Amino acid sequence: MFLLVNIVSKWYQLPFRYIIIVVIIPFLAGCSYSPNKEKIENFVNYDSLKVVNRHGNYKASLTKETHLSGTAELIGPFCSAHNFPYDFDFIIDDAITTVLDKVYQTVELSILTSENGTSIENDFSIKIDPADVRIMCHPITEYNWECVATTKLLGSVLDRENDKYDIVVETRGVSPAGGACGGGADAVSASIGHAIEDFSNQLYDILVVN
Amino acid sequence: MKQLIKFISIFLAAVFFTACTPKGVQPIQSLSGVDVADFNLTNVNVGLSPEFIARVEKQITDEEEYIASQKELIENPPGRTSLRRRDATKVAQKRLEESENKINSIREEMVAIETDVSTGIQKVLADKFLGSRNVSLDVLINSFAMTNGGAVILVGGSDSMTGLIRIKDDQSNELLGEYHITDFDANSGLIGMMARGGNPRGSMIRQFSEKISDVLAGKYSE
Repeated sequence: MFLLVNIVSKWYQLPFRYIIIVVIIPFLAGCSYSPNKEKIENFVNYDSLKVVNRHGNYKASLTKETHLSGTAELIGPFCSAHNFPYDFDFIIDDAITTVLDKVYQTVELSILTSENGTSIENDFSIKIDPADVRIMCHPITEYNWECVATTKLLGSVLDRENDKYDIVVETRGVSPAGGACGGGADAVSASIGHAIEDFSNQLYDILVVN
Repeated sequence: MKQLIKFISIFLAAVFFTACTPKGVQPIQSLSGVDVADFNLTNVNVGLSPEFIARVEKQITDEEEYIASQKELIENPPGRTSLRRRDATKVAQKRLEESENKINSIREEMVAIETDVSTGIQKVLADKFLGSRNVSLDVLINSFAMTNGGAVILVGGSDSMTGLIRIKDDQSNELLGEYHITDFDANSGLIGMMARGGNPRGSMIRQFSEKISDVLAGKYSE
């Protein structure tokens, strides 16, 4: 066995040196990477949303089928030893609340699950479908990798007249992968952050017009 | 002891390399339930992803900024004597030309990738998929990286290409399937150089195209 190893190691000295240095070490470093849920950066520029302060006591509901958390689906083979978890459930609640406060002087928001979401009388109901978060990483040069994350978020607003307004969001975040693919988490964070921003802006536009 | 360490490193390398070997084709939306034998491929559209374009444009912007700095040096060369100023001007002029050449080659490469991939795919798919259901193929290239031949011999390197393909029904515009495709070759030393062959770029595009052909043939439809 040792003779065989000796022969193999002599023949493949250079390739294995390459494999160990260039491939194995980054992968090993990557395999040991276990991030906490990524901190999502909120890109909403609330100052740009004009205060409307519509008079009256309004009631609204926000229905989510599931918590907006999970693990980004990895597309492609690179950084496959990694998990990119996310959780933006509270951040989007906060963003929506802030948007409502900009539009209405007094508004009572109920946050509901999909089971009891339709039973309450509201001036309008906001619904958010489960998020679709994906990430793919790839080499852009032989020693330099990049990660691209995509977040798709679908939602709707139903007003008192049962008119439905769809919200469709698809955003991307790009980040260098870094030595241990940890940069992928930044791409996920950026794509979700932009998705929250886009969702909030679309919601604001719908509420202001109606 | 030395032999044992060698054995362990080879074993570990083999295990981890196998564990981390890139998968070639990953379905995002599988063609399962679609009769691929009926496909008639009418159109192949190849493009670069927005990130790819943004990355290349940033490279160009960086080079343009560098050119501007060299022009500034040419106009106001540093140095106390005229000889030093002349030398500084020459150096700046040379760097400026190098950067201009680099910008031209980046632009040419950007166009060449799209053209070459498109040609490669059409070559591999020629005379195939001549059924009755008209479908289109959209290919979005996310990355395309080739290692310099000298670097392969000295330190090793990898050639890689990744992209997303979408197969759509021409009539309804319905998305029938979506796949992520990777082509990755790691080579090192003289043996690696030989294994890489004389036309690594062409080989990579051909392998990528063959994977597309496999997808359309239903190999990854489960």
